[in-house]
Amino acid sequence: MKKIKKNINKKRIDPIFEARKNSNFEKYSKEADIKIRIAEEVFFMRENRGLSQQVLAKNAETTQRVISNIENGDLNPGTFLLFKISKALNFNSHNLARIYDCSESFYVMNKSTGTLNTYMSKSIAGFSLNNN
Amino acid sequence: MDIFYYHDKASCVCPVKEYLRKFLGKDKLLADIDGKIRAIARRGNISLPLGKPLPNYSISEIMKSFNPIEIRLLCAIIRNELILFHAFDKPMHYENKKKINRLIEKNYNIAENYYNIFLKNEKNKEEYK
Repeated sequence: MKKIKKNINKKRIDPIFEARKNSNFEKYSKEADIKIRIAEEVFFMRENRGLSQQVLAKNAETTQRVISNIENGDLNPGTFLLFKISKALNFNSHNLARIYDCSESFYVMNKSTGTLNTYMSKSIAGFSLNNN
Repeated sequence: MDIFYYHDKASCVCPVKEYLRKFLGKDKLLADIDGKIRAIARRGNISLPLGKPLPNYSISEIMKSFNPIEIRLLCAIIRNELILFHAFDKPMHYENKKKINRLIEKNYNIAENYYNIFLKNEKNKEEYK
């Protein structure tokens, strides 16, 4: 009887529900959310600009495979690669706001370079106007 | 949008839940899959880059790479609910294209069959928690 009960319970295990009980799952979920937001932003911007993955890869000095992995939400690009992709796709504050889901990120990006500083400041002004 | 596992009465299991059980302990992967499923449910449609509708089928697929395989989750949106029907491993590297295509088609047909059974009885589902 116990064996039967055990088997039934085993069948009913929900792997994602079980994983959610682990302390690291929330951290992994947040990482997954960021990967998904980057994937969507890169994909839609690339499509809007009519670029192929190969062309974007060339402009961002990476490979088509990397762009494909980013767009599938399977790869979290580092800061430098994301910066190069952002530049190649002409990202503005809207794109970055959607990726980071917070306005503070602009100030972090502002510190990187002088040129980026001016560009971002203009974008923030546009962003504030559009959101008020 | 609420998310549900399709429950197959014939085998008494939820095929997607059964499939995902082999990844128990791989929390990062499960978080990635969960993230994609929830993002699609939030968005309300299954489209690129996270998923894609399958031509000639009523179902769509959600893709996730997990070297050396690609995980394919077959699902559909029915009456504003995301239903997860079936899942399978697709090899990442094609050695025998004909064989792989047959495998893919077989799994698409299984999912399409579940989809049709579900339409006849929409109570065949379990909550996705």
